[in-house]
Amino acid sequence: MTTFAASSWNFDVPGAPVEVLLFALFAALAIFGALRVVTASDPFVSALSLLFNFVSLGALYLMLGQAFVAISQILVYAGAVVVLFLFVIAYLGDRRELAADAVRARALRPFALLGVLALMVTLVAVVITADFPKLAELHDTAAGFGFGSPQAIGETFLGTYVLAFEVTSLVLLVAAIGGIVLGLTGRARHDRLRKLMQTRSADQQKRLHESEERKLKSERGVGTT
Amino acid sequence: MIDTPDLNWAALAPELITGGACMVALLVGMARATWSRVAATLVTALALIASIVWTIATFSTTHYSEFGGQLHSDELTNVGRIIAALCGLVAVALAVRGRANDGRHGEFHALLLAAVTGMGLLVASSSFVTLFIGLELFSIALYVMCALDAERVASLESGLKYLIVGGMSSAVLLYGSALVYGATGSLAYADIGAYDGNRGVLLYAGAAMVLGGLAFKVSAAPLHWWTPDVYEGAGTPVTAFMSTATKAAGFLAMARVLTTSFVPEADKWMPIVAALSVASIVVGNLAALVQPHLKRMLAYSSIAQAGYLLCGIVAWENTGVPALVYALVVYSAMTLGAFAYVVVLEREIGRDATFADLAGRGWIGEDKTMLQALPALGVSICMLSLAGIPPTAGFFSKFGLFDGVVQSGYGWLAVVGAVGSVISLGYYLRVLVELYMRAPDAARIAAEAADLPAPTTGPTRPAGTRMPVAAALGVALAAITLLLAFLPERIFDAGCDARGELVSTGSCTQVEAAGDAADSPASTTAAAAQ
Amino acid sequence: MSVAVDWYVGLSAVLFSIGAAGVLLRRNALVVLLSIEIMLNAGNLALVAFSRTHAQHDGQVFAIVVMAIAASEVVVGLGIVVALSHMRRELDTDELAELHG
Repeated sequence: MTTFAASSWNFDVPGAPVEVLLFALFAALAIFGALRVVTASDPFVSALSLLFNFVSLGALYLMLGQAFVAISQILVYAGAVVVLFLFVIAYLGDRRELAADAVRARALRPFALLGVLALMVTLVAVVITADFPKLAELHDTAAGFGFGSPQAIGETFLGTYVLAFEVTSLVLLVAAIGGIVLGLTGRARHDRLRKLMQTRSADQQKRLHESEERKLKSERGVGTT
Repeated sequence: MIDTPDLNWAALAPELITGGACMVALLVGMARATWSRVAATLVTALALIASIVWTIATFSTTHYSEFGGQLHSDELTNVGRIIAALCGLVAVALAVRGRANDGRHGEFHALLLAAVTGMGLLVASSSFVTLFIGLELFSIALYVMCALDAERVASLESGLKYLIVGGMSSAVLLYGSALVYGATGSLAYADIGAYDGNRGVLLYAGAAMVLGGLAFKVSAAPLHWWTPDVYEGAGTPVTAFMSTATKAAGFLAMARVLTTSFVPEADKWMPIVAALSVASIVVGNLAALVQPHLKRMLAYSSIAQAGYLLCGIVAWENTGVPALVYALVVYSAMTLGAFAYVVVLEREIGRDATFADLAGRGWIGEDKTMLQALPALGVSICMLSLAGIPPTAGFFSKFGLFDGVVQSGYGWLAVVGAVGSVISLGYYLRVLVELYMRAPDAARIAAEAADLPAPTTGPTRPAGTRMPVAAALGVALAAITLLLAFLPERIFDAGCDARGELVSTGSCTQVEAAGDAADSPASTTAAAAQ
Repeated sequence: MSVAVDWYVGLSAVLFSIGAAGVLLRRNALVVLLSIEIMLNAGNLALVAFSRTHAQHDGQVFAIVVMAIAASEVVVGLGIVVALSHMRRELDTDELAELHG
């Protein structure tokens, strides 16, 4: 094994207990993290638990001999996604409870739970009964790069998957547009609201509110005529 | 050294045009001048027209396995590209002066173009990587477009709901493609289809999850529950775009994946697709009967229509795919026509429209000219077509779909579809009854408007705006719906050729026969009209 | 390898189901977004594990693409959540103003 072979362990030794132990540890951590995300009542705890999940998945990727994916996992998920979540949760303060209403009727919840359990049983049964493909021998790529190494990934990414590489940039542009548009709308209204809250009497507040409404209408502009 | 694959840009030209214009529209929209809104609209419209022109000019040119086997451009792809771009064009026209792109016109048009690009990639995909990335490109753009009317809580909530359901469906699709990859060792459709090793449970589970993820996107029951709320909350031009272009792209991608990758499993997925179809027809038609709001009614009607369209996939071995292509073209035209009238109505009354608002709008009274009653006539034609009344294209599209299903040995599915169509008369004809046979009643209008979702914190929509462009567009689309009835065989042929490339089994001779059969009633009615 | 790849795939199946449970059962939009991330990550784990069985890089590249796209989805989702919370706050103050006036 070429990647990660620099370390002192050799993962290819059959029956090496250290790998079984590591797998058990990280699998347990990943499941624990995922369960905490779903069960915690505080979104802050959920987001932190997700970190456990992400980091243990990164470790599992490393054990599968895929160093570059593992590093990306840590950088992108733990470094960016979780931080973004924590930032938004802190920013929203006590307004974290926003009903998402994915399942509308409460009466449907037991069925949703049953459905999910059925899904888990089915998937695990599929994995157990499936004939897994034989483990292929690891070879260096044609250019001589090791399995899972950044060079080999780059070769595939900019070779076969160059279209996906290019289109990903467009997806990121769309996400940036979305973030800015939605964030700016919220921000502009928030500022107006703060001005509103700073005034003291209810009468003042009402007058200011009305003038704000007028200003908003005039900003909205031509449509009203 | 990285060996770069042969980059055949011509295979990707429509997406390059729309993707490039996406950035131009964004930059133009940033300008603070008054012309920027007009300019962004023009850039978008021109780019979409250019992409349509290019696609039509190179309609029968096929490119296989471009970009390292990621892209497949043939007639089926081109049909999808043309439908997506035309729907985008109609949405641009409907959104002129609309709230959705008020002050955010650059972003709105850029997102629309990005969505069209994503749909083009989705129908052109020949591997699960391109499928996933195309799907996500247009989905993310649509999430933002749904939420773009950000001063309305309903709009934001619809965006959030769509994002949650869409994110879940992409995760299901991703997991399914991971299982398929595990079973076959490849992500390319053709290689998966050609894999002759052990096609066991791993592959079946993966195929089922891929099918499930795509069924979410085309809102087939029982994976439809989000549709009414999202359609109702989003701005109407966005809803019109979403309900037509997304369905077209989703169905064509579904047809492509199932008929190239999972051909040996056909006897397993055909009953599943048939069951989805029955569920959609039943749920969509029954729920649409009791909706007081036009947009919700159209949302449920689109679920029912998804059920009919799924018949085309069940019948893929016979005339299913050509019939599906024809039905998608017809469906897009008539649905956009219906939504165009909803836009006109909403702008006139300044809020979401209910059935009571329709009352008496079809009359040519003393204060109305013939011209002003024309949009109502247009929407009536679209409704008749959606219901599948004979002289309209809707009838021939349904005829083609059900005919294919019968040939594939699923006669009972055609019976369910026919019964569903009869039920659907209940709500489609209700529109006509309101338009032509009831007097406007202020008390009833107020009562029905009262249970609309409280929409807005900002200023309410200005009432009384006339939308001549949207009205004209609605009439034009109704005319197209009538016109399409007279050329099913041409679109059938296009779909047939696409299918010929798609699957090597069977022959297309039956298709031509079916096309002629579908055409002959049209010509007789035309003769009768003369 | 002493831990067979089907263990990794089994783990990913369990994680996927937990994520699905979160999406379907929780009402808090933030937790639902986090659960979608778990589902996408489970898909990634399966891809990476299968990429090891086949000794190919395709699965890994797909996983990296999924990471970028998942991050984009999170940005849009959080943007909507923030805008929605501003909106709700304003709705509450509207009620307040009505009470006082």
